[in-house]
Amino acid sequence: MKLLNVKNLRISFKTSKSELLAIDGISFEVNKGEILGIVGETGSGKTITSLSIMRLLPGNAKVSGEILFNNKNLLDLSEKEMDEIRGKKISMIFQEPMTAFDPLYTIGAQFSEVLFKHERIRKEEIKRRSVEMLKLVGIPEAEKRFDQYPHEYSGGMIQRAMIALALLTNPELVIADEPTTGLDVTIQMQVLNLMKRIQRTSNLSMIFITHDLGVISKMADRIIVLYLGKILETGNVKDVIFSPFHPYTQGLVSSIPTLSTSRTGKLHSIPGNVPSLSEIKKGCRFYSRCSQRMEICKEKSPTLFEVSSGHYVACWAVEKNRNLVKMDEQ
Amino acid sequence: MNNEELLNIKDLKVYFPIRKGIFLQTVGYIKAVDGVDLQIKSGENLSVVGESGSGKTTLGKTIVGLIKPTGGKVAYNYNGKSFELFRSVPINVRQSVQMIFQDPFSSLNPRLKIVDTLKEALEIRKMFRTKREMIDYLGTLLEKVGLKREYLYRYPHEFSGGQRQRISIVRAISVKPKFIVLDEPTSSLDVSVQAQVINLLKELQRELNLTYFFITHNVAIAKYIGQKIAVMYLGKIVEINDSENLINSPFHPYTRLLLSAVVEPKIEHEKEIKVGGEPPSPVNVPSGCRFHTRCPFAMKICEEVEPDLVEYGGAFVACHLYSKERTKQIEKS
Repeated sequence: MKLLNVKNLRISFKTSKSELLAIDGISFEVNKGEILGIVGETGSGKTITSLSIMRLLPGNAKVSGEILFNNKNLLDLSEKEMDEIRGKKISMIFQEPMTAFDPLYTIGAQFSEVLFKHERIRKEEIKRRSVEMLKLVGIPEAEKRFDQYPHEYSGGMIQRAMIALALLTNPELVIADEPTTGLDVTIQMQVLNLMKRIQRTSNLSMIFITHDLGVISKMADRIIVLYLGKILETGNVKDVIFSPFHPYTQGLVSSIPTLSTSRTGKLHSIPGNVPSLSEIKKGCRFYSRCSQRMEICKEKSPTLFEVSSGHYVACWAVEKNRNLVKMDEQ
Repeated sequence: MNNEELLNIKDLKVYFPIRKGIFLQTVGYIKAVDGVDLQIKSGENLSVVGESGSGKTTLGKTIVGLIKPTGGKVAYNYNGKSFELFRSVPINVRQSVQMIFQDPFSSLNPRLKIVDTLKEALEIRKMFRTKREMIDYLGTLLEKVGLKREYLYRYPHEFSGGQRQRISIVRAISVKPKFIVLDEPTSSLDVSVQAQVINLLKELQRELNLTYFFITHNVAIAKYIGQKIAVMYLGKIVEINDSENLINSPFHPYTRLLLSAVVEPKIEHEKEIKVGGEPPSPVNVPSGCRFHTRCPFAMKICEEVEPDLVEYGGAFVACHLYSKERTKQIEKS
């Protein structure tokens, strides 16, 4: 069942000189009890996408398309109606918990604010539920921790608290934006295990945003590969990572050094840098760095087509090879 | 490659005092590096891995002489003579050791054009007679790392992270060093750019006969760059071995923990790996073995006696699990 259905989302930003198209018509859905991973590098638009779902984009952003949550278009809701959903039905885990929490209030006060706003319950009840949630995410001495300030928590601990806060109101959808970036590997593993366990036991739906293909392959059921505001490839995590079709995904997967990478060989790398949004021209957005580019790529932007069940790729070269194979068969 | 000893670190200690009150009395110490012994041979890259707070950056800064050691010694060999870099040393010795920093956004002066940043070290050294020769030399170096000559006259903000890190690399190699300390040089870069920079570093090393001291938290990159890997935990080296061996057969429980926490694509992550606890703060280092508070194999002796780094199965390991076995073996023979 579809919980979230994003249709043809376009987000642009007005600057003094021009209009930058940060998200160029992307569509995706999140099913109940599923983790959708969004992978992308700097400037891919992964954070902007999540902020648009929460309707937290700055004023100069122009959003079009549809964001259907339980069949209601979030873009049509009034600010007041959105307040009922934001933090209650959809909540977010931010990248830097140390800055996402307000340093001037205790963790308890910040938990209480959320529960009071959305549920109007009594103080004792608020504390009971908050402490219960802190315990669930594995924070020792939760009662004492409830009255402490963010700076008294360690990096791993504060990220757990952030997760607890996001789960406090039993949301239907949790958006996690790089939740483990900046954590040490051993702590990262703890946090990932925790998130997966909670997601499974409460059948939660989740959007998990990261630049780390290792993390996404551990966490997600399906993934979207985003590059400069376009979906280049999407499908089951295994299909996309084990047998990628798009030259960008292929390059990304093979450019990561792993423990089994030979010391003597050269690492595969994608040439060039991610261009900035203002440098984008018509045609495929990956054109300037692509190893398999053709004439058509410069002129026309490719659309997603199905390469195997549920696995979609937007690439002219892949499409051409497919057609050649088909013609051979005929 | 020659096997001449480049660096000899003996019982190195770097403590930072914690001062409190109006008279700034010292109330304790952060023991960032607490008794490290290391030898680095010329041409043999050493990677140091560890989590935040393990003291790996402090160790790197102490090696290049940016921090004065509290105890112990860092001896750097240059043409058969031994130097301590935190003291005053001849300019050619000083410049033969360079450092590349983690964040290319803060390590280049935003007010200086690239050429002004790059020429400083060359002018101090008086490496060129004319300005023209110098500019020509710098332009060639920029081309060598995959940038354009014209970039010399631009400011740092005009470049992306990967390009800036290439400029930092040019700054380091421009004075023809022998030894470079690299502090997480790729951790702030995008995945697709990271591979480019790592390849470049490896190429340069071969071409210019450099030796790297490579600091990272990424074990896979540590292996790719270093012939040897040293694992640090709370200011101490707990294991050191050839990188292949360290990854294929780790001994120390902390090394095993670190390796099991690595998430890689193309690996099935079905089972949940138990990874307990968080590293204690370097202000309150646990008694005995520093790792005993998180160690699944902790014994009574671990709380009381700090294990020494001893040779075991080709590696050097600081763990009672192995020192005990080793004494048994010695007793038998």
